[in-house]
Amino acid sequence: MSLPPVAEKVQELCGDGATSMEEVVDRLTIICEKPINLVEYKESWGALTAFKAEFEDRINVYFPPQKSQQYKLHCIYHELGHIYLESLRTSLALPNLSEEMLRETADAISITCRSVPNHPVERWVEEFAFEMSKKTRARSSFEPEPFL
Amino acid sequence: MKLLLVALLTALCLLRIPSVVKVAEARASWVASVFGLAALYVLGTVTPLATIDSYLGGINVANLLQAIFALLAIFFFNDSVRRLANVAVRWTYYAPLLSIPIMIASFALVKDKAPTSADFIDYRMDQLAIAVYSGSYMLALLFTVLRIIYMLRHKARGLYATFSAGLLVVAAAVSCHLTYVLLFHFSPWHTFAEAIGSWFDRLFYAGLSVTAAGWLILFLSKQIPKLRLWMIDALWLTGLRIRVHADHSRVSPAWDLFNETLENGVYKSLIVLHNYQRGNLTAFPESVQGRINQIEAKLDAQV
Repeated sequence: MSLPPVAEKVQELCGDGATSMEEVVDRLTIICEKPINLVEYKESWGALTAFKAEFEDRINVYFPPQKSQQYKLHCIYHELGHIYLESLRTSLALPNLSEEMLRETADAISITCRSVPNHPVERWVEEFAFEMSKKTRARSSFEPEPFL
Repeated sequence: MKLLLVALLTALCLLRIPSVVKVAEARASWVASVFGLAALYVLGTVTPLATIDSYLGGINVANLLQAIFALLAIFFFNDSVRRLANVAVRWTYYAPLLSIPIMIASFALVKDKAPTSADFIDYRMDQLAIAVYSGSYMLALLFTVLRIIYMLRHKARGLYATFSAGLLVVAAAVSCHLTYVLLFHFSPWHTFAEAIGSWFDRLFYAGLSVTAAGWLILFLSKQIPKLRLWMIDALWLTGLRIRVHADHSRVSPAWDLFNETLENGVYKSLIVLHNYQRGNLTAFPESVQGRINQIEAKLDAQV
C-alpha cells in the first residue's frame, strides 16, 4: 500500500502557517461534500479513543469525554486524518467497535476508528494528527524563526 | 575583529546544531554560518594563509575560495531573511550567484597569480581581470546585502535591528571597495582610491561582527527560556516512555527527543503515554499521573 507523504498532504489541506480545528473541519466538509459533526459520546470506550462514522448525509466523529484537552483534540485530528485519507481514495483501516457503537452506526456507509495498532494507515493518520497539532498549537504565535 | 567573528560564528554553528536537525527552516542560516567560517578559515584567520594556499597550488586560489564562500554565506543568510520576511522568490533571487562563474573566469585570466599574498588584489589592481574579479564579487555582495536590508525593513525591531545595522556597515564597506576598484582602474586618483579602499577591511568585519553578535544574542535569549521550560519535562517523559515500554520501537522515545523541538517532543510523549494507558486499559500511579497533568496544563497554557 502506498500512502502519500503526510507533510505534503497537510500542506495541501492547510497551506503554510497555523490553522485551527474549525478551519480543518470546514475544509474537509468542502472536500467530502458532507457536514462533519464532532460528537462527544459518553458510552463505554474500552481501548478505543475515537471513531468516525460516515452516513448518507453526514460524517460523525465520536470521541469520549477526556480530561486532557490536548489528547481529545489529537484523537479528533486522528479521525479527521482518516476522513482526509479516504477522500484521497486510499485503503481504510479496519474498525474494532463495541456492540453499542455498532448499533449507533448501524446505517453508516463506512466506519473507521482510532485505536493504537501499528497499521500503516493508523501510522499515517497518527502522523497527520501530530502535524495538525503542531499547526494548531502554533496558532497564537506563529512566525517563522529561521535564525533560531 | 576577524577572530571575534570566528568566535561568534563558531558559537552559532555549534549551538544551533539541534535546531538544524529539528527545524528545516533553520538550515539555510546555519549553512550561511558554516560558509562564513569557511571563508574566514581560507582567509588565514586560523591557519596561516601561506599554508592553506600552498595546498591549493600557491597561486592565491585561497583568495578566490574566500570570495566564493563569503558570497555563499551572504546568499544563504539572505535566504533566511527571505523566509523570515515571507518574501516570494523572483527571477532576481539567484542573480548574485551568477557572479561566481564570472569571478572564476576572471581569476583564471589574472597574470602572475603567485606568490601567495593577503594583498593579492591590491598588488594587481592594474589588471582588468582583477578589476572584473573583485568588482563582480563586490557587486554581488552589495546587491545581496541591500536586498537583505530591504527585506528586513518591516522586521528590523529588537535584536533583528542589529542585523540591519551591521549590514548597513557591510554595505558601506563594500561600496568603499567598489569605489576603490573603479577609481583605481579607471581614473588617475590612485592614492585617493587606496585611501577609500583601506576602509573596507575594518568596516566589513565590524559590520559582520555586529550582525553575528546580534544573531547569537537573539538565539540565546529565545532558546534558553525554552530549554528551562521544557528540558526537564521532555527528559522525564522520555524516561517514562522507555520505562513502561510505551512505544513499539525502543528507539522512538530517544528519536523524538532528538528529532522534535522540545515542546513538540513533550506533546508527542504525552500522546504516546495516553495511547499506552488507553491501549492497555491501565493507569499510572497517582504521583506520575499528577506530574503528567501538570505538564499538560503547562502545554495548554502555551496555546
